[in-house]
Amino acid sequence: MSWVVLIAALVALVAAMAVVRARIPVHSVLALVLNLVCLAVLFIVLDAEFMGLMQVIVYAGAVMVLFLFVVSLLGARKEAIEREMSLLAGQEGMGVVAAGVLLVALLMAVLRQPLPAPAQVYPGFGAVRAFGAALFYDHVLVLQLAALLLMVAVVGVVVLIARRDQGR
Amino acid sequence: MPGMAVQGYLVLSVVLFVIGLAGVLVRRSPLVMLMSIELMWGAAGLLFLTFARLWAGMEGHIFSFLIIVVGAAEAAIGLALIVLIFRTRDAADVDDVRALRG
Amino acid sequence: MENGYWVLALIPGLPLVGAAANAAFRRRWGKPALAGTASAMVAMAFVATLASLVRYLGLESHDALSLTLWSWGVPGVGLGLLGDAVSLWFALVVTGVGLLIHIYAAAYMSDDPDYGRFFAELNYFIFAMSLLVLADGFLGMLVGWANVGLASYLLIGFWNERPAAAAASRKAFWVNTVGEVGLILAMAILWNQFGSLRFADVLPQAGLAQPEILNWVALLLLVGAVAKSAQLPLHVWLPDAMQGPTPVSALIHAATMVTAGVYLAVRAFPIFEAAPWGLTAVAAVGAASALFGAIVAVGQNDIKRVLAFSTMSQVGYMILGAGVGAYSAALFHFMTHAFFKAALFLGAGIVIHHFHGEQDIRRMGGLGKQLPFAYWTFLLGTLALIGLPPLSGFFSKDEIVVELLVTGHTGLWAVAVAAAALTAFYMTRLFCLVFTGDAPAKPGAKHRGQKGTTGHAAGGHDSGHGVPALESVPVLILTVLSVGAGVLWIPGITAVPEHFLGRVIEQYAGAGHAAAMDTGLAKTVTVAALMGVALLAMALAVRLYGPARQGAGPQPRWQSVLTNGLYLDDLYRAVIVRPLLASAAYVGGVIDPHVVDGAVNGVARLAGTLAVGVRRLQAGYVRRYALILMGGTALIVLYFVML
Repeated sequence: MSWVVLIAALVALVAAMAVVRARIPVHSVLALVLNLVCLAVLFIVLDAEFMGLMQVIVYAGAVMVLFLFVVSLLGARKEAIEREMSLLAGQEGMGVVAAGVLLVALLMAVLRQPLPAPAQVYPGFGAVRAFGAALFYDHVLVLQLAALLLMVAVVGVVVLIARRDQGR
Repeated sequence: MPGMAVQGYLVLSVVLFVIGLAGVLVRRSPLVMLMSIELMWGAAGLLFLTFARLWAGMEGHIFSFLIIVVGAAEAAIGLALIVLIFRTRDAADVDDVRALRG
Repeated sequence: MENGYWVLALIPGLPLVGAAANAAFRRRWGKPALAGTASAMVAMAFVATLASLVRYLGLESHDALSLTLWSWGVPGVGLGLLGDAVSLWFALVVTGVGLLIHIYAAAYMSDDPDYGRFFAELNYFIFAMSLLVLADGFLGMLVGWANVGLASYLLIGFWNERPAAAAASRKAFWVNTVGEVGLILAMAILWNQFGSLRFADVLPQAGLAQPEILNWVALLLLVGAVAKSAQLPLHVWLPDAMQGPTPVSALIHAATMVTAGVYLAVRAFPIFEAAPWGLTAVAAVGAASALFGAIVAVGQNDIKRVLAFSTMSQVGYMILGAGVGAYSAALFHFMTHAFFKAALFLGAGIVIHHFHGEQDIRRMGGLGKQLPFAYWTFLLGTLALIGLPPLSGFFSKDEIVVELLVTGHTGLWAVAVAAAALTAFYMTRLFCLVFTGDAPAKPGAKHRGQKGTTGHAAGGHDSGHGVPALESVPVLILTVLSVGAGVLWIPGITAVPEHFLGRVIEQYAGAGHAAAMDTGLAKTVTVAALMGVALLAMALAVRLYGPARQGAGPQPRWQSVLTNGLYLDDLYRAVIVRPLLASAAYVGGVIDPHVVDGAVNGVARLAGTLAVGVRRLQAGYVRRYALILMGGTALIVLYFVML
């Protein structure tokens, strides 16, 4: 199974780089879909079957469709590369440096001490039944908060996008 | 699963997160910035699930679920804002939107 | 002890209200309303004083009225009012004479455009002065003390468009500041020694402190008293203070404020008595000032400056009395002096108005025929000041001088008698020059604007024909009082001040003073000496300056020395003022622009540079904000990882 993991990880990395580096927004979206699918594979390998499915359905599916819609709505225009004289002097360089510092710091944090071997999981761990039990028995509040958040988001989108002068 | 593999997941998660971060900081297109943020969400979800597997607990799954919900909501709001900005200002560049200027 | 007699609060409170009303409505109200409000407030304060007096007389002998206005929860400090014999004695004069002078000023100042400001400041003075005398501790007294200083400053400089008045007000303020520093230092020592600043806590145990420390306290208190009462050597502000309007001179610089030093000396007399040098220093200062003022007054040519130096001399008598234990006599002299000196000043105001602002007595004369009212009131005031029986000045001054002899201070007694002779001489000179002889050919109009004119000479008063009733009635009342107040203390018959004030003074009085001479003999000798020298001096003055005087020749040299106050002013100017000004010029010319301004500008430039840098962060770019946020996060994570 480890070669599946390896390939998925590598593809995820490359896709992530592509998301950031692509000049055309549609390419970014497609790379992001690839990245998310690879992550879903890794989720499943990590005994999180339900989350992997959710990742594919919700993220790589619904959300990415949303992105594609917006991209096509606005016209897949390129970034204005010609504006070389960026208004933000040194933003790119400093951004890379900050990211690098954070990378080093997080890697040190992650690699500093050895972790124990993974625990033995019971059959059905991460499956729909187990997830549902955890969500509906132990963490109902999370479910309710998620519902509330999504509703607020929907209302917010409507408020933002709706043209106020439509009724006249 | 050997111990080395767990750390491999963690390293992957960190690298993905930093790539997303760099995208937010470096790119000027609001769409790409939003996608970079989605990358970071994904990296975070991977981290949670890795630890959920390590300790064999369902809490990590719950968190990951929450991340997907928040990410979806954030994407919806963010895209709506982008549409709004494009509609009113025809700006292709976040640097053109400077209402926060003090 | 604490009986919360709230009427006490009205005495300073009502004039304060009047001051605020006059200040607030000085442009909207008419002159009658302004003067009426101010006078009514003082009148009600006077009534409140009388009510307090009646209430006080009904109390036990050693009890007093008291009222706590404010407390910080720390015992010994806070603001409270105390109505005992000494306080009420002073408050009576302050509000009573103050009321008369308010009424007088309503007419006297009627041509002044700043009518409302004048009455606001005058009312404010009454507030401050009554707070000074009614405070139940050194702290409240200091508050009143500083406020009368401010009121005095404002009123001396009332005609602030005149440089001389402005300079005089500054001078008065500075000299008084010296006294306040002395008072504050004394209070610091008292607090340290007794842990309280209330009279009721400090005075009964004054003798318990170490004598050396008490010496310092007494000396510092004396500095305060000397500055406020214009005693040697801090008297220099008083003659210049005559730049203020004449009612101000009468009220503040003759009757009330300058006697604050006497109040302090009497109020704090247990401290002075307990301090080895205390009484000696007080007596020495008083005697020196009495003599000095009298000498210098002889050489003055400005009517108000004569009276100013006379005030200094008479206050010297009071201080002298307080310095030999004749507290009741000192306070009695304070009261009679307030009457006749206020009458004299108000009469001088009438004279000055008559001569259209002329104040130089050498250019006056013959007023007796034109203004008989002023003639007679001024004559009675003069005689009372000289101390001829049966006028009030005789009894009060006599009491002090007799006490000198009784306590064996023969040298001081001689000084006092000499000063009395000089007093008789200069007052007679003043009176003769102003009221007798021929009227000047052209009444001084061309000299207006010279030194010390009252500034609004071209007034609505018809020269020579009558005095407004608002002016004459107060003068009349004051004259009657200065004639008749002596009945309060006719030796052997009445002794109202001694009995009344004794209620307070006997509380703390020590073993009493050894009588060095039989009282009856002392009285005989003193009266004989005083009358003899006074009559001699008057005769001499009448001969020199009377109706038969020769024309004013060139001023003799000895007289100009006196006119200039023995050049003490010039000495101070050379020794203190010049070096101060030079150092101030150095600070202002070198240190301030280069050091202080340099530092200030440097800070400003630094802030500007910083702001320019910070402003670039605050440019509104979301990505820059994100960068800063993430950079900070990265550093924090790095810090925790490194930890």
